[in-house]
Amino acid sequence: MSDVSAAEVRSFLLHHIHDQVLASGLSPQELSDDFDLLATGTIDSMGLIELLSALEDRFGVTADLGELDTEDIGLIGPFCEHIAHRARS
Amino acid sequence: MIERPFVGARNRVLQVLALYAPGAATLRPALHRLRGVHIGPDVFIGTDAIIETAQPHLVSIGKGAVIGIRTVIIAHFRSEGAEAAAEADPRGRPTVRIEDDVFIGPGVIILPNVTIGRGAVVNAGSVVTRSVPALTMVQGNPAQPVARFGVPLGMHTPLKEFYRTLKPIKPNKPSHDA
Repeated sequence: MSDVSAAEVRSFLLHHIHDQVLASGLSPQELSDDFDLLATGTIDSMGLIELLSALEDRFGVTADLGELDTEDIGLIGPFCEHIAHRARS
Repeated sequence: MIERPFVGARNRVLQVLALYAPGAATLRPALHRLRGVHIGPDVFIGTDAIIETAQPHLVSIGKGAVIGIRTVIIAHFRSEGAEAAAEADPRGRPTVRIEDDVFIGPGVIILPNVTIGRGAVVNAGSVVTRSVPALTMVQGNPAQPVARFGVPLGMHTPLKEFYRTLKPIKPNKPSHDA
């Protein structure tokens, strides 16, 4: 168990996908919590796998996306909350 | 095994037709079945896919499988052992088995003597040299497992349902203890 906030996860996530976000013509700072990384094509299945691996390395958390509602999978806000929650539990 | 000229020419003509014929889920699988490829129902074959030119009967593709654009499936190499096996069993058994609901991405190369397990995903551009377990995603040359998942990535599976079940597989790090 560790004291990880959703804001910390968000900061790490945005750093990790920085190049992909810029390539989409967006700025990482302007992404809202309901920005969908998957539906917008910002990351694909391999991008998601790499992100989950990086989060595990950084926070020691194994994500279980099955705990999220299907439509929330790629949303930055719920995704970061999920990782932070897993880190705390 | 000596290929009979008429059969060889017929298989090649059908292969060429299947490259660009319309009907990824209808006419193309039908043309490959005529060539002798074992193909189950509801199979999707992308444009420009080459499925074992000389000995198509050595390939089996299970129901619901997706074969991506420009996939190349090679089911035999010429070798002493292969020649002897072909002589002993001229009808042959498939040496490339693509099981039900497998998803082969674009530009994949599949080499002989592999089974790609039910529901597995082969990412674009990979070279499959070894068998792939069921419900496993592989990538690279040679293709290595990168993730496991719980539902096949079929034509009718919502992508997010597939993503919900993804679990990364960590690559084995080389040991520096020696």
